[in-house]
Amino acid sequence: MRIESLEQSDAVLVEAAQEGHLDSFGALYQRYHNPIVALAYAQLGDKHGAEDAAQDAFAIACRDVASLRSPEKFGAWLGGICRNVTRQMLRQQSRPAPPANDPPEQHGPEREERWDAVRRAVWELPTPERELIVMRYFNGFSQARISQVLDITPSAVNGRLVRAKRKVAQFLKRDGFGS
Amino acid sequence: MGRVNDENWLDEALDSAIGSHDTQPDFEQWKANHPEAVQMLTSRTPPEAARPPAIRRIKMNTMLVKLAAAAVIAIAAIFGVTQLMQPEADQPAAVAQTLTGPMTHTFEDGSTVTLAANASIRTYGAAGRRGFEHLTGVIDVTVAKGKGQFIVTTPYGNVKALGTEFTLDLVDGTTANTKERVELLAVEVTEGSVEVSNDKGASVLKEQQKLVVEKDRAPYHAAADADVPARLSERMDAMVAAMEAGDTAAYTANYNMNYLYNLATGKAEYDPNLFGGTAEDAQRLQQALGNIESVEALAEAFRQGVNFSGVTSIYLRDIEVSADGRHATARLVTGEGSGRLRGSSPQWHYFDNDWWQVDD
Repeated sequence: MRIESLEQSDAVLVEAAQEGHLDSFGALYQRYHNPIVALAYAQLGDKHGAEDAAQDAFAIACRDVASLRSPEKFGAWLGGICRNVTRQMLRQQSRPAPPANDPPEQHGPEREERWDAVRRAVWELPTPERELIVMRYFNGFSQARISQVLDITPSAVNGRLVRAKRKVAQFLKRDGFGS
Repeated sequence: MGRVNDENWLDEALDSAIGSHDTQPDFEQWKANHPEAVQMLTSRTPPEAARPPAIRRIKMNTMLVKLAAAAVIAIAAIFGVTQLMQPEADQPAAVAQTLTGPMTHTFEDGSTVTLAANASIRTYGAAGRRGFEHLTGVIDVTVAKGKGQFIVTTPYGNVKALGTEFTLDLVDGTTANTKERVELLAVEVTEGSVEVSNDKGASVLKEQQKLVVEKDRAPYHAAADADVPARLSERMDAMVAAMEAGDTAAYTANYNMNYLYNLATGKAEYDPNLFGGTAEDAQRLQQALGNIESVEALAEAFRQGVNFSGVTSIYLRDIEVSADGRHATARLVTGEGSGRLRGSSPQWHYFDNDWWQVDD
């Protein structure tokens, strides 16, 4: 039995958006909003700033979608726009990305200390690995979705994720969060 | 606490520390906030879908007009009407154009450039030629991978990239404090590598590295300057990073606080190599902080006096090391959000087994 995917491909939606169909762009917005917020969060370390960056990235994409020559690469193209937007934001703030320090909800001080340490460890990672970790854990995105936005193969996502987590564990051990 | 080698423990910790399940897309709200972008997209709707095109009948009164029309139809048939009917978006961008920020432009190959406010570029008219001309301001460039070399030309040098991300800043102005003319290109690589060259020289820049190309000078990459000791280069990088981050504690760590404490409390002699100011400056330090209780308190007092607010960019133009290799002078230019430039020449000296900043 053959099961057809009910989800339209990025390429179909992009081509429709390029012809002026706002609903198709809306479908792309629904599909990529959270991954793009996560990507921006990986750069900015601030969830509110990441939401703003994602809104700006979609505005640029909406204006310029007609110029996209490879519709199937929409995710990677949007990811590139998002990185540029966050770089501009960081430059205007004249500050690099701070460690993520959004306070968690009401939990015990020990757990909050652990989460702070985990965030610090993640923000010590090189940018590509930090992007991977944040995208994976921000909202549980699939390897396929992560690979689309980061423009790497799903198997590369898996391999790099394993290495990035290993580094996080090393940083945590170094900081006294024993084994 | 915690079993960091336990996969489940780490997954749970990462999920708790980073997870954000309250982020929900709201396209209706986004549309309401971005009417211009929406208008730009919807204005591309083919007009025939909305209303049938008006047909204008031309009355052919003479045989000459009829013959001309027949000839046009025949030529169109030979060359293919479909070629003439392609939508504009599918045509190669064969016309050079000047673009001004803020905006993002996507090239045919998928590469993008984001222009900050007041930044400008000129695209090439020749189809197939990858790159563009950088005219003014700050731009972020993301070069599509696997499509061949991509060259950005600037007044002070060319930047050649292969599948990479980098930022260019063309600075042209006069420093507010020293009244010095500054004309330079600053290059910072985010991912991959680029080659920066002009007729004076060339330098390859890797990820997270920066260099400056001044007008009529070879690209200057401090980390690759053979005249600069590696430790000094490292300390200079830390100085610039601290200034960019507004990290006053890290910046203060460039100074040898033990010597300054001893000088302030009268335990050390004034030495112009170790204290960048004059003997009178040293006396003023002793009068103001002679009773300071500790090295840490002095460091804190210094830290309180440092302020990098408003700084948006810092470029290290060059480092000059003295003949005896123990003293160095850096030249910096600092950009502020207002567009104002400031010049400075931090002095460094080697003593107590390390390089220390001795004034700013």
